[in-house]
Amino acid sequence: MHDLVLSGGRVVDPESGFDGIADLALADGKIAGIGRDLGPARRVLPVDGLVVAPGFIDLHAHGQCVAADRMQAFDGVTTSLELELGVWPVARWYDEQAHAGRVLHYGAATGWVFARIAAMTAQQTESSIAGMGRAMQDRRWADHAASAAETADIVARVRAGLDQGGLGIGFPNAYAPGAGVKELSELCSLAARVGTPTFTHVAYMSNIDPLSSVEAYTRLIGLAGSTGAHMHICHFNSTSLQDVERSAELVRNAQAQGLKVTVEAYPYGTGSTVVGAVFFADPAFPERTGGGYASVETLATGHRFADRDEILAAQEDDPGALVLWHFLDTAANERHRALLDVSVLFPGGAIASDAVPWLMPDGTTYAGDAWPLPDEAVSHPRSSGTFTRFLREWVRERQAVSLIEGLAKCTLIPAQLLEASTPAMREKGRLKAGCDADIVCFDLATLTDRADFRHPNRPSEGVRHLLVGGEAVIADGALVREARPGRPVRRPVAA
Amino acid sequence: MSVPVVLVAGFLGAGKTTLVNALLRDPGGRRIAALVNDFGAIDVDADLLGLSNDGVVSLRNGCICCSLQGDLMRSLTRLLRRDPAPDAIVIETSGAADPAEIVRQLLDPVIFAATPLETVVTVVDARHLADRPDLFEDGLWRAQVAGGDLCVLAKTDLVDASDLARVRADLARHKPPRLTFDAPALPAADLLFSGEGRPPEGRAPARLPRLAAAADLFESVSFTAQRPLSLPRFQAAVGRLAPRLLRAKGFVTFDHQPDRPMLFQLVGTRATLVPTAVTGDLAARLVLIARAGDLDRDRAAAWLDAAVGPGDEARSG
Repeated sequence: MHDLVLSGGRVVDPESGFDGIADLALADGKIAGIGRDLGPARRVLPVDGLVVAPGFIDLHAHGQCVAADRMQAFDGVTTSLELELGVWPVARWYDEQAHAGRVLHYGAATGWVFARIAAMTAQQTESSIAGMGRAMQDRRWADHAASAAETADIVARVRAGLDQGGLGIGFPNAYAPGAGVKELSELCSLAARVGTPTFTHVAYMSNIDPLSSVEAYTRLIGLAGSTGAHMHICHFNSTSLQDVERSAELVRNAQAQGLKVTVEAYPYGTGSTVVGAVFFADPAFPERTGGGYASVETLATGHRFADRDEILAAQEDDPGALVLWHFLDTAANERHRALLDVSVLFPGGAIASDAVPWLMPDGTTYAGDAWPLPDEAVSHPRSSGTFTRFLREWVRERQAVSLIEGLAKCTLIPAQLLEASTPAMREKGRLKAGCDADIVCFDLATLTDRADFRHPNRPSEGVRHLLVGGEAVIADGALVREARPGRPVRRPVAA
Repeated sequence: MSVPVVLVAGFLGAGKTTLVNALLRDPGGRRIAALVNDFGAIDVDADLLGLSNDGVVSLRNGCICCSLQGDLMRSLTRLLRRDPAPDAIVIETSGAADPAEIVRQLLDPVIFAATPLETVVTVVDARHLADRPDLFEDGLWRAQVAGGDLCVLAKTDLVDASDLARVRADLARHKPPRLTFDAPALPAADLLFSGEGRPPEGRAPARLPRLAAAADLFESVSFTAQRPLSLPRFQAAVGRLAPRLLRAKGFVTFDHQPDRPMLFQLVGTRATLVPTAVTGDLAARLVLIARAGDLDRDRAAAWLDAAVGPGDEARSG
């Protein structure tokens, strides 16, 4: 006897390619069957008119608590992973989550930066964005290359995190730009030996050399080649700026040579300056103003340039070249949309939110379980609406990708990225018998994000049912408040 | 309704807090709220800003982008939700910070829609520069000055005339004198915010700032167009005008998107275009503000007139 049959929905499974009306039977937290006449069930839930898909897997979620889980549940997420910052010590973090109770499945990479803080300073801090901020009191971990002894200590601590089941190594390199390549190379060799991916927020974000985004990607690709490690690039959209097309070309070339380089993106416009020179590059506006391009870009990226005098001299010759244009119209401008598309639609790339914690007016992270979230709790809208925004705009409105391709970027692709090293992920991100009953049922016609800067805690709309391990977190569009079905996603713990 | 933001940058002790206090004391009819970006956990600057405690909110984790973003959003939201809401927000950055990162965060389209960045002003300490000319070579100092749309030269009364002349000359290598102001010279709010305080709902954005009324110091030129402009030619015109202007503001429609009016702002050499709803019968309406004597009205009008009408691509087609 099945526990539940979801009957009559449009079942879409990116792995098998199935997209059709079918029933889905669930038993003991697993999918028991897909098809017609699946046998008796304790409960039959009609889902006619809804899409039935694997729950979304978010590779990049910093919230990691009940409140953050619930907002992401309405975004269709059933597994929420902290892979970029990571955590350390890993075992303690998993214990704490289990003790606190979670709504969504959870997991984390080994937090290299926290191992670094521990190895290079005397600070004790928690594994979170806020904890990293507090550790800036003594910034040696951020600014300095590690000595040989410190490197050995960092590697040992990271290895311990992997042994405790960390899902890979998080490299938020931008927060510790002082870290040297020898240290990173040791850690990547470790990742390659253990067979886990690494997750990088690249060290540099600029469109000009030195320390450009392209330099950072090239270094990352080099590490993939020289160590054999799987290098995953976090939020490819936000760190590539105007060089996203070239950056994508470099990644595709690396992939074509067999290097394990992958990307993720979130579907929000960049926070960076958009300059006139780029705007002029739009084929629709051929009147491009010749020289001065580089100097404009220099200003645009806020880069600390040494040749200020040269730029001032240039200003005399060509004053127009030095006006810095912020063109904040991502919705209407074809060029900007095209740039965002390069990262969001990157073939084989995942959608991942980079969801940030919910902050209270006094600056503390909201850790309560009030629902709806308190009005004064604030986060970036992407913490509430990444996946529904992607499916609404790219799949439904613009039809830039088919539904099944769009869903693959939210489900199968992130699962496959992890499954070689984390066997539990082989049972997520797809709909087939034996896989986890992590399932989202949504109304494609009305699915939408609703959060904005003034109202970040507006949940997305359109997710009618969300099952995590077979247990309802959202039922008929409403939160099941007592639900805490989230379980750890963890690599096997070393004996 | 959006609430404009002014960002105050500058070295530790340069006089940022004095400038912020001057804004709060003489807000030019605006309800101004202040945000203070402390360095570390110590609330030094917030203590100094004793003048109007309820208008001040602290940013705590000032330095790195993820925590900065969260802190910034939290603090801005807190200000926006006040009743009554502020008309304008001033953010005092940490003296140890390059303003580029906070500027980048403020240009996130999500944040910009609610709290558009209007002016970045960098406060420069004349006494400090007179004593330590090597500051001109300091990377952080240069980044702060480069990041400012305008510079305010503070503590000029603490420097004798010859030293001050030398400081001005050195500073001019880093920021054009037309974009540099002595601290007590005029009401800071009118210099830093482009519009009048409390514009009534629905009013077209291109209003004469009160600044322009100080006719002995500044002059203004109005420009209107009946037909949409060519964007590349408008950008070229602004490029020619910018070295002669302090700021410009108004709305513009472009021939490639005639139904999508854009709000245009220029301060110093930084221009912003964002969609706006307010228009009226005109296709463009701009006000240009310059220091008295800097702007040739006829040339300015001719440059902008040249941007009106179909672009070359349309003409050739």
